[in-house]
Amino acid sequence: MSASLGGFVKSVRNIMRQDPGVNGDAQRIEQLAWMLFLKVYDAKEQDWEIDEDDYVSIIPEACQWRNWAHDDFSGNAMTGDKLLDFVNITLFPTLKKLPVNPSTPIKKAIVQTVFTDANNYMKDGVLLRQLINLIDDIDFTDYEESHAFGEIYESILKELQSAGSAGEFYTPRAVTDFMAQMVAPKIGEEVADYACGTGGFLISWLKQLQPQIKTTEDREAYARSIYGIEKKQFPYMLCITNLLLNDIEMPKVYHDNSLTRKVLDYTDKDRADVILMNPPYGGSEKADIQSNFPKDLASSETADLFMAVIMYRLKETGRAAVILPDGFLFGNDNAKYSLKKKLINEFNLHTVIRMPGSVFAPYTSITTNILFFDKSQPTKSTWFYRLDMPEGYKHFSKTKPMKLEHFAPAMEWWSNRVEIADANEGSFKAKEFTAKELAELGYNLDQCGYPKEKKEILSPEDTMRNFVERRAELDKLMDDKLAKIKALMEELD
Amino acid sequence: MKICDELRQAVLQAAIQGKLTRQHKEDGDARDLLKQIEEEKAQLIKEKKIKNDKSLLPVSEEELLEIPDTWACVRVGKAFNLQAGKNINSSEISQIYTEGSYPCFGGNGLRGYVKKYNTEGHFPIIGRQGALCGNINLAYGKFYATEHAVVVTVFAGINSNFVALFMEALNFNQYATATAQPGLSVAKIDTVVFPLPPLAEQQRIVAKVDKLMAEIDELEKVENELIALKEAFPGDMKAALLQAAMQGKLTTQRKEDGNAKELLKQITEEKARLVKEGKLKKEKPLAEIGEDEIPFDIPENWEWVRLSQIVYNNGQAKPEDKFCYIDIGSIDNKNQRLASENNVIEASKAPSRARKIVKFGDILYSTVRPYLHNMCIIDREFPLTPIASTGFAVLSCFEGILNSYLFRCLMSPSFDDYANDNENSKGVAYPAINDEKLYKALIPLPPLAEQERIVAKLDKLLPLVDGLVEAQLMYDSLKETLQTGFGKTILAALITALGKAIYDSFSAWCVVVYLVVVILIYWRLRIYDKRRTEKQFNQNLNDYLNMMK
Repeated sequence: MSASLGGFVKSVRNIMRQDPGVNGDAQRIEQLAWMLFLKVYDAKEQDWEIDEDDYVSIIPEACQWRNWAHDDFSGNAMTGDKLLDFVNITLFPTLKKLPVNPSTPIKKAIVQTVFTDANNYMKDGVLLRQLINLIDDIDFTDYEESHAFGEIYESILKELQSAGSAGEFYTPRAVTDFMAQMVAPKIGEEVADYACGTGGFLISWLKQLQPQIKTTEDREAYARSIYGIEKKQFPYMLCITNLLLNDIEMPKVYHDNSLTRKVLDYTDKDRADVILMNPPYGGSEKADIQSNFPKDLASSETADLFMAVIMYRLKETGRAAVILPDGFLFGNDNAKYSLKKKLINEFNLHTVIRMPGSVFAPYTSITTNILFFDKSQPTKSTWFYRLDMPEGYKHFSKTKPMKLEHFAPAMEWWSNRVEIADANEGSFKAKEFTAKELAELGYNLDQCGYPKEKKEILSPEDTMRNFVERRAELDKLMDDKLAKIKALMEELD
Repeated sequence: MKICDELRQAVLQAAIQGKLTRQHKEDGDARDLLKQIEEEKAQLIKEKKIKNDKSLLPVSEEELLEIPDTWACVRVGKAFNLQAGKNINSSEISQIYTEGSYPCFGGNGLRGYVKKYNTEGHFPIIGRQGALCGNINLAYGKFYATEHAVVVTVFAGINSNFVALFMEALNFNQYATATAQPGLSVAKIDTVVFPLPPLAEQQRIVAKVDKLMAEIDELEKVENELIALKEAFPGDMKAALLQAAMQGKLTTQRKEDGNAKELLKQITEEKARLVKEGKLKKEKPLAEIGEDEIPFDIPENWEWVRLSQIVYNNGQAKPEDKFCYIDIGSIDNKNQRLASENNVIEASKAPSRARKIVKFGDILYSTVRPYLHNMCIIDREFPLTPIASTGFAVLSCFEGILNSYLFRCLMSPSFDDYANDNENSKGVAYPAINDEKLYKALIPLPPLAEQERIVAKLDKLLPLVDGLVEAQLMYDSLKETLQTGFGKTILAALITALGKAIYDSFSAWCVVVYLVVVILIYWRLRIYDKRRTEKQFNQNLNDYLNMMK
């Protein structure tokens, strides 16, 4: 299905557009989400029925996807008003009122959770049938396809034109896989993603961990090894569904906002062995969120706040890999400066991988970096490595996305670190900086960057956002410095 | 003016008024320091080592500066000894330092290096010739001072750095003669009144100013970046809009537009017909468009085409009669428009480059230095046959291709990348794109209806960028005014003046007027509140964003 993903999303939209009941993209997404969920859950249940002799579905037989939605083209499948009545009068009330209590396993309770807030907006039973058939055709049985979840979400988001402003970018699988591989998961460890979206990092982690399973204890540890938080309902639902597909029957993924807790309140039980994240950049949060952070780390940039959360939620023995935009590397406002200072002085920031600009194409052309750090000791030195565009590529795109093999040079270099100078004098592709050098540079981590011969053309939205953000940063910096000068002038001696 | 420059001036001003430091009793009185200076000078005058300062009048009541009680006011000539250097032949001055040579100071600081020296020590030096006269430098060790460099000798243990600092703050340049070659005489500088703090305080002032200047230097880095950011924004924004337009991101793709494939088919058929009729030359078959040539993704109903697929060439002709010549000078490359004046030339005087046949609606694209965007659409008629220079590519669009769409395409960043790429622009000294490369360029082709929508949208959005810039400028100037406190100063002065008037006259009318004016001023200030301007600017941006959706 991956190949025709764009086509799938398009067909879905075309069908729903004709329906008088669905208004706007938000409702379209909601409609799609619960249908996808039921389809996946049904596929999962078929597995569980085989694995567990006494498996009993929480969903009454009549409401199981295979029994009402699947069309065997014998002409018996419900359609038109009959189908519509079934969904509205039988299916929804039943699923919303499923008997759930604290002892119900998560994998069963999830059905009720998902349906609590779900609605059927469609009013045309024939169109509903068309949509059901389209979804029923998807085969969610392999990794490729399940990862396509994120892509579905992204495609829809893009249609909504909100991808940019909400700052939620689907992290390409090549990148999540690379990061998971580099942090080298071990059985018994727990990974956390405090803005997990559709669960891309969690899936990549599981994929790395799976070959290590040897015993039943290992399998249990594997199933317990993920922790996620997602703020938005739709990606949250997709994430749960995604994890179910990957045999995590009790996914510890919560529908919550990671920024609403005071970071100083975190104790050891809140901390993770490994954190893999691509925090949202430029997302919007209420101003009072900042009061949950120490004053020097408070910022209006969500990426900064998440970085602070990561630092407070990493175990003493923990490791982390985080994707951050270039702005974090060179930014010198108070919060970024303090975060980077803390990162160098209290954490071991051992590697920064600079990624090419179009990794997130076509959703945004913002350039990003992967920061690898752990808490073993203060930073002695940091290696910077610039990952260049693979040969023959000018940029990545929808049809030519980044692949894991494009990280091969970085992986090779990872285990055999050497300084690599550019052909042009003075710049480097890879270089080691001591903590002292970085401190002297004012914690400017913008090292080994791309030679800036050609100016990157961003989208108008990104251009404006960058401008407004950078201007606000500089204005703030100006104000701070002016205040400092004023104080200095007033302190007479 | 930059905030940093204003701040530097303000800091110097505050320094000479004693406002940067606290006055301590134990520092003593500067008048004692003055006495010491007088004694030292008297001895040296007696020994004829320095000039006599008897002719300088004491500082009068009116000339007294606003200074702390422990400071003294003294004429420069009384406090120091000013002595201009000696003329030196410019041929003796070398720009390069060599072993055994000495720095040579002239009217604008260091002039170069010479083989001899006439002064030794640590001195402030005042440049006294040229537009920058009154500039202060510091010289150490052995050096040569020319007749335009005034060497300042200090006494009684006063620090030269302090003297240089205060002399800079006193801005001697204001006393320069208003002649074509401004200059300052030593006699003139001698009479300037100098505020003299006690020795210990001098040290504190220097330390304080150093600290502040270092901070202001830091501030300047930020300010420069901010200025650069703002300057770059309109250009960046225009480029971003053009690029987004070429990717179909400014418009929605509509089913009823059909697709560009059909359009291309029509054009190809039309072309074949024209070739058959002998109206067009047959072209060599084009190379397939390779996957790696495609610079970005385009909507599904668009097509990537080579420029030569959608335009044709009018050919060349030697002018046989008087004609209107169009060369690069005929183009206003700021607005990409054709100039309104006609450059009429006799056939006999026609330049050898005047060869290209031009029709109404054609696009002229200068193939020399493509990044300069010397391009236009022929949008008017000419009184005589127009002929263009061979420095242009003349592009006539086939039906179904909007010339204004193609025109925007040729201006877009990705086309610029292609046209200005070294591989495509031959010769570094004279970068140009040859015809073959130009006609091979890839153009993203939407259906005709969408071409129209794109042009309409860009016509609406691009001028708005200039509107944004205006709002930005207003915002900046107001913010600056408020930051520097200039606005507040004026306000305070007005209120004080009015208050005084009331105090003097004590009439009821005055009180009313006073109150009204105060209220009005505060009301104005509120309107000019920086947050409001900021909000307005952000509102502009939002309007902008909405329009693009």
